[in-house]
Amino acid sequence: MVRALLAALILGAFAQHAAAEVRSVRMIEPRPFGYFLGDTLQRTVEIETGLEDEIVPASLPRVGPSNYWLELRGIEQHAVRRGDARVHILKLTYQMFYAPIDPRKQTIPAAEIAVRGAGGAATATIPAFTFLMSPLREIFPEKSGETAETFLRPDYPNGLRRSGATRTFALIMAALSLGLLALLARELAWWPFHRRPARPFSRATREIGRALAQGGSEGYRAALLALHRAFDAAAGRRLMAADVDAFLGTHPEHGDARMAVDRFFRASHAVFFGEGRRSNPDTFGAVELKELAANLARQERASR
Amino acid sequence: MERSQSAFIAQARAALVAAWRKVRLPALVVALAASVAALAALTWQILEVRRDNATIAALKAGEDIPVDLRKASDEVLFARSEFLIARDRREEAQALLDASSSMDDPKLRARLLANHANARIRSAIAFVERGDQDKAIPMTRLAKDEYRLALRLDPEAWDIKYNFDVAMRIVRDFPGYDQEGEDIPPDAPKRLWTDLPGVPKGLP
Repeated sequence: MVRALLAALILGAFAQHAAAEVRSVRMIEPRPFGYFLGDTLQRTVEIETGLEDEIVPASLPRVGPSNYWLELRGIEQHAVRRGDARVHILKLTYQMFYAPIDPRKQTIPAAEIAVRGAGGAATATIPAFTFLMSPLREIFPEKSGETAETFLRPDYPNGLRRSGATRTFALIMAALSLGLLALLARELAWWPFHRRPARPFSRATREIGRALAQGGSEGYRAALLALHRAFDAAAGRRLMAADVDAFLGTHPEHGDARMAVDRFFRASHAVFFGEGRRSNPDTFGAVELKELAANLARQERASR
Repeated sequence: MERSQSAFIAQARAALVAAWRKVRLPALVVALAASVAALAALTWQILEVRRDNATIAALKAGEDIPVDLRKASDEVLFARSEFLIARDRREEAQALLDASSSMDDPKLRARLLANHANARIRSAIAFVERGDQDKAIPMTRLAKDEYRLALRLDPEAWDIKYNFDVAMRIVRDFPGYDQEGEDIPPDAPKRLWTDLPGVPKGLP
């Protein structure tokens, strides 16, 4: 007997649990008065259901004209969990196109929303909402020499396009570009940073290019001298072939170029002081000289 | 312990600085290229705005400048529509109205629609004054549809509400010829309201 009763209770509990359950419908309504033609209003519906229950989307009011004066403009829907319940929040935005002649009650009709659970369905009813719409004009506008022009509010004037924000933005971009260009010039020792003490080899690279473009042995000599001056500037004193080891010790960034630097000093010695310059003119060719200078410039950029 | 930690920090910092020096040049070049590209795009936009403003000024001055309805900016479309309305070129104005759905600014489109509707109401009133109500009624209906669409786009526009109200009283909306609804008043759809200028007999 007791067992049977218990079983019945449990079954009953199951059955209750399985069907969809609408526990409450709470409305948050806007003011019920003071609406004009074309105004919008927003109603919020909070439907509390069992945890697993869902709103049937097809049962929601349809977006678009509801009748000749009322339009549903949009539905926002989301759900939150509150304790052991699920609260479905619907925000319904309506727009009214009723032009009353005197203040007049209007009603948004009630609507039913289906809620679907694991084992069945239930309905939640959104109640009707009645509110007062007001006219914009007198019932009988005064007739004092009106024409079509005074009868209507005037047309909207046309305006020019504005570019203020774009201009500000363009100015910012121009300033940014100039700043970046200055930084780049400093990095590569371009004018007005061409005498930057930290970039002697960058300067020398340009001078060598110019000197070699003149051609002839004069140009070659000038190019060699330019690189010598760069070495002097980098070392802070006159640098001779014998000082190369000491220089590379204090400037380890140029260590990779040791071979080429040694050959450069030997070749330069041969050109300026030696006899072998005619017998062996290509020990250190123009291309090699350019490469060495560019290499040294790259190394000095990476170190300072 | 402490010393090794500070040494580690110093080492890490040195590594970071070295890495930065290595990428400094390419980073500068890329940033400069990007900002110059942005500057060029913005300058192009500003020039376009200037060109558009010149077109708008010319239309305002009465020059008949044709406008590509699909490509023109909102403001140019608006100026062109003003031009057409002022010269009563209804068919071209209608074509422009149909193309206005591509406008970006809903408020400006609402104003464009409202100005068209105003023009229709003005001619409807002219028809009524001449006693030609069969022409006034469809004209007013078109205007009402346009006002309604305009208010959908900009529900806060008071002037549109007001003019819509005027149009509503020329030809009332009644349930029945749109959709289901309450009772249809016997004199409903074709009754002209009585506050029109030039229709003084209607005063109750």
